[in-house]
Amino acid sequence: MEYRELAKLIPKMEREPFAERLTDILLESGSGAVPPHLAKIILHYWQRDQLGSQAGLTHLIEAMASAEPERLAQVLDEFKLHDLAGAFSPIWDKQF
Amino acid sequence: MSFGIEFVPMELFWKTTYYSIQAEKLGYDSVWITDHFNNRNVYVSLSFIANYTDSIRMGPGVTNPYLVHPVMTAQAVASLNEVAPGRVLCGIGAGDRTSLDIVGAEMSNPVRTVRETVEIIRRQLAREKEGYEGSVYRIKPGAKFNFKVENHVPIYVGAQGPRMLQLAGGIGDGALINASHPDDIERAVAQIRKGAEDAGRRLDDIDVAAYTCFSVAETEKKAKKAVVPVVAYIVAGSPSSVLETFGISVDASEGIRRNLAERRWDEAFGAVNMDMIDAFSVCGSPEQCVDKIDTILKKGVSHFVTGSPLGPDKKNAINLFGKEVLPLFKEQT
Repeated sequence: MEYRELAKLIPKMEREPFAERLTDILLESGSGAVPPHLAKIILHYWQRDQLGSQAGLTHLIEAMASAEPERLAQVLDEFKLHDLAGAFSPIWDKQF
Repeated sequence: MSFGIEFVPMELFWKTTYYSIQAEKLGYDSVWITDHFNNRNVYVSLSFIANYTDSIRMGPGVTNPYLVHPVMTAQAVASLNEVAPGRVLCGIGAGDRTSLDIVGAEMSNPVRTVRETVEIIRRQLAREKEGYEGSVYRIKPGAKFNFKVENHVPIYVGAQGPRMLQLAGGIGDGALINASHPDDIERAVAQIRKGAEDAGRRLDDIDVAAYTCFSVAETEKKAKKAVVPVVAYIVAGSPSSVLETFGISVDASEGIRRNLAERRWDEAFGAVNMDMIDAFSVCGSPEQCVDKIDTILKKGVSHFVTGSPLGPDKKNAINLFGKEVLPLFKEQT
């Protein structure tokens, strides 16, 4: 499943807080964790207040999958997005 | 009244840019990036920020002429102006003696050097053909840009001592006062005023900025905890005359300096007391910061810059300041 399809599964009500949570984690992530091309796309959407949009979330999730896969799993759990977590099972078999 | 924010580019470019976008959204007027050889490059940082912002003004805060020749600083800010037209500021100061020592650069004749630097940057931005004959710098006729600079780039002089503060008043479009305590700022403004009047100018002609060590958090305790390391370095680097003004013993300062040098962080930071925090920072809950900033603004300051560390959590600190402090002052103006 592509990240865009995964972003679609996040309920609209949850999108803004979910994006906020992912952003906080990415801002704490270590040097080089977020690929530069994704960092620039995240800034593009942040400048336009669209990180909570489907497109914004697509890139946030992709950045998280690259930089902080374990913590993404935790956040999905926090937000009770178990179906979405399941879609990531190839990555996080250990967590789920 | 303007409000600015300073970032030390220790973090990845995209993170500093993220916080700058956040500051712009919340109504901050300026973003200043420090220039130290051991951090990320100031102009790469500023270019990145310029690309993702629309209105916030920005510049080096501050760069120094000992590591970067004034013609190159002029070139950098002129180039940045193409990316962020009309939004560029240029902060120039003598630099930090400790950092300069490390790379073998001598801070000689700082007031004269900064004066000539400001003059050279201005002549470069104006594309003057004539040469420049100073006592520190000499530039041959014809050394000018082959591109035009459309906008005015205000030059701010970073200052702490009386002579540099007077210079800022005499020739700066702005002054960046390196202090956080209202009494210190009051003394600094008096020097800037003297410099301005000696040069036939008025204090109102100059954007007087308090460039503070700042920390805000939900509680005073959290804000103070975050500011301790920065205050430790300030205390360790302050001359005895400044320490005595605040009743801080030279022995205490030397103890902190020694522990910092030997990387005994717990001892160094543990020696920072409340008097030191009050003398060298603006910190506390949003309500406490409002009171402290209000006192500072009454000393003749027209621009308040929140400098490092900002708070225990940068994103949260920017939000707290932007939502709970800044609007109260913007409403007044």
